[in-house]
Amino acid sequence: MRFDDVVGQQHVSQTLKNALRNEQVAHAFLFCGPRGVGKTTCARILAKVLNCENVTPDFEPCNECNACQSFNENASFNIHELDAASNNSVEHIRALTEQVRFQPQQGKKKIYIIDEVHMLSQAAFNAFLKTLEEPPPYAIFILATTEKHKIIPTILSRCQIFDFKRIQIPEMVSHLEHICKEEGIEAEKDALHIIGQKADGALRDSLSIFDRIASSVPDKKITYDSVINNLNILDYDYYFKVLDAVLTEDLPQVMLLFNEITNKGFEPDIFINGLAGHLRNLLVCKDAQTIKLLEVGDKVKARYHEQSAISPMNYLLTALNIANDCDVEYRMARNKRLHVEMAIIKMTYINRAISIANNPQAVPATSEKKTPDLSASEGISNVEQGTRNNEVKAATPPPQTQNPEKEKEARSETAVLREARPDKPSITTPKLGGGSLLSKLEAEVKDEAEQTDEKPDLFTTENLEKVWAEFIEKIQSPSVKSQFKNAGVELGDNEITVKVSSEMAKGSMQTESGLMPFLREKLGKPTFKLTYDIDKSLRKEIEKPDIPLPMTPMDKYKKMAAKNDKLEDLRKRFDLTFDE
Amino acid sequence: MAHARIFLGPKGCGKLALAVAYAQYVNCENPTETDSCGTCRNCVRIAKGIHPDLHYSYPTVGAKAISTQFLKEWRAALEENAYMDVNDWLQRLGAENKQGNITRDECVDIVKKLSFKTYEAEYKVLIIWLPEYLRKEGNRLLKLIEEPPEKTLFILVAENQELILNTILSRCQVTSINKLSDEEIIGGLVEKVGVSAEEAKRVAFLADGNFNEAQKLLQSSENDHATMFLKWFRVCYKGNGLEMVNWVDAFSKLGRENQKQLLSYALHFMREFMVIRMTGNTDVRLQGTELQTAQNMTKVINFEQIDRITKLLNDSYYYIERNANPKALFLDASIQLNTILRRQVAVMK
Repeated sequence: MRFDDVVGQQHVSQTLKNALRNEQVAHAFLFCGPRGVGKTTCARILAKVLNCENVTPDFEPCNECNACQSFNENASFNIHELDAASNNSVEHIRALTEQVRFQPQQGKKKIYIIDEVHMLSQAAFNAFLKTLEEPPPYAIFILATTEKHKIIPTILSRCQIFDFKRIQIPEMVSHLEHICKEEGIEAEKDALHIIGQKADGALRDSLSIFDRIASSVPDKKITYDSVINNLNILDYDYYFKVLDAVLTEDLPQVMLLFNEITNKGFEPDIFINGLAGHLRNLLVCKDAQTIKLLEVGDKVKARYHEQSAISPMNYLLTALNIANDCDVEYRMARNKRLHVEMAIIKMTYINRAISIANNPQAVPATSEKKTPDLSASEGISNVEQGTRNNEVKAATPPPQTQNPEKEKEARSETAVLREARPDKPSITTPKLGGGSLLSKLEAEVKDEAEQTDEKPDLFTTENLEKVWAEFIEKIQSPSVKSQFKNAGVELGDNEITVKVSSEMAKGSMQTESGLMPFLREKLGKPTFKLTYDIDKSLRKEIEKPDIPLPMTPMDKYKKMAAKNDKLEDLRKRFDLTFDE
Repeated sequence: MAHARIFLGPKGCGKLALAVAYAQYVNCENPTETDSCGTCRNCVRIAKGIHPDLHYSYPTVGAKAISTQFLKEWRAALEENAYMDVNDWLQRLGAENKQGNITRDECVDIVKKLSFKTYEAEYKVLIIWLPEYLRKEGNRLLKLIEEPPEKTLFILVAENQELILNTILSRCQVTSINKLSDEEIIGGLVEKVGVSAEEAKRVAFLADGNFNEAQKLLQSSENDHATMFLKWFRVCYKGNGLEMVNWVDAFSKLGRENQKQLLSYALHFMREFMVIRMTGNTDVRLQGTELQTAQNMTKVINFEQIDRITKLLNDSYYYIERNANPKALFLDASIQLNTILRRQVAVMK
């Protein structure tokens, strides 16, 4: 072991080496920092250097002399390692100070490494003070702890303090790569990245995880999948899929995904926390400045970028809020699964809530800058550009709901792009209908193609009325059915306006979740928007006659006072009050 | 082979049994590829819990108590039910309301025990059941866990990762153990306890992967929660005050455990109901009349109401656990349930 082998603590090893060079080594050190960052290792190296008989020019131990050898064999007389956690009483410290009085038998220095020093009792700390301040010239103390705040100030002020840093992921990855090379193991960079992330700044954790995975994989190949399976980490992929489904309000898909996740043995809170982390990453992606806070591999970074482009900021924040609430209440919830499912359903319906909330006041359309970069595939992007212009022109009437809708359009467009890129021929061989995602996408692609080729369009008023009637037939609940029947539909450019009689009818129609997918499929157009107009004139004239409310004494009095204004005078003069 | 492992899993998933099996496998004299032989002297004695090289540490009651003092009870408990939870164990020790702890003295004892050479087996193994109870005494074991003496294995059997010292976690290899699936519980109940598949199924849906809980449910399940709950729901829906009071009177006599079970059943029902309501998928964990009622209810109850009902049930459970007066609590809950259910109906008219 040498100073140079210590990962990520250059600031400590450099300072120590300088001190050695100038022969100004302090008599007491305190190494503190989080777990697994190399405190004990550094302490041992320092002890070794101080006792080494022929130190190398760059102040590393030679590892060959007597002192080094005996230390390696755990037999050094001059280096004492003490576990303060199990020897924490005054007696132990007294025994130690007794020992310090004797000169070293061989070598120059006598070194005491006291590990986990925060566990010393109050009395033990105080008993140690004097010795620590003025030890004999040959004695050096190295204290190590993870919890600096538990150490009394009088000890702190007597030591030279070195704060060890958490180890950054890139450093960890490069260290693991180094090990891989030495051991002849092949490893994917993404896999090592995950290990580094999971280790959370501690090299020991990353090494033990690495060990565990290396011993479990056959033929010495560490892949991303093997790490995910081994660590029981939820794949990024799931979060992307869930959020995709949430953004398209595809509730059954969300539920199925969640079911799949729990069946894999993940606790619901791991999922909800992971999802919150995912949302955070997307938010970070929103701004070019903060993008470097994203601690993931390059491949995944690109995916994050893609998804963040299609998810609006306020949507992400609301979702994050829901996730957080869910996490706070998670401990209290008896049925954890139900609890988390409620949260994801709420997330799925955020868009609806937002559009309802925004309805009264118009929100300026700010969607342009969020639209994804389409320049990747030229042929299609031209088509896209064409339709986009149409949409922008068309979508003028009620601007309020435009924002979320616009985002959704953008989303499905990227979906189309993603799908279309690998096999362009599918554009020319479309099939309509079919339930699977792929065929749906194909239908969408076909639709795009249709618009430019000016083939017969399904998006017409007659067709809409037919489809609308068809949908009404499928509704089971009689009351909802009648509400649908009472409502009128109108076709605009790229939007369908539903005229309903009341806020309540609107609400029950909005909860009819099958409507959007049904219309999308039947009209062969994936990107239109549905707005609801409340038209009071549609309401049937069955308003009940005004039944007078029972009168309170106050009301009675007011009525009487209106008839005879002397009454008020009377009341005032006698200072009368009402009978309660 | 890692010298320190943590088996981390939810309650009642059999992690303690797994830890013992692991210890048995590494010490077996003629192990097969997949399991220990079960007949050699090491295996036999480990299975009985009397092997000199297999040490146990577990939460005990009393400031100076160490695990060895309770070895007899421990062996009996382990034999009886390896799926037990900490409450079962502490009650066996007669703890009543006292907290369990792995004490300072126990840590000192561990250090002493493990500093000896192995007696006869290849490895000496220390199984620490629920290291969460070490609390900050865990610091005493840090050095030992990081650099244990030769041929020493640590197996920590834990439920809650957050309660274990970070510094301990970082020194161990964590193996997560999944909760049991419904099918596994049903199979286990039918095979081990010998109940009918129908009965086992009902209990398994409620136990949520906890085999210990499933066994307990079986013992106390003369009451049919499903009918009870559905009746409650109906009464609340009707909103007849007298009927509600009658139901609450009858129900509050049943005792706390039953009330808690009914509430968790109610939550289970709401969960499945929500799946039906929101996705239209009828492939859920409900049977017969329950399923039918749930399907009928979809017309009356919307998502917001589910949300509120769930909160209500959750809160009621919380209060019952903390000894609320059941009569007052359940009458209040019934009235609240009524308003939640009725609100929508009133608007519909």
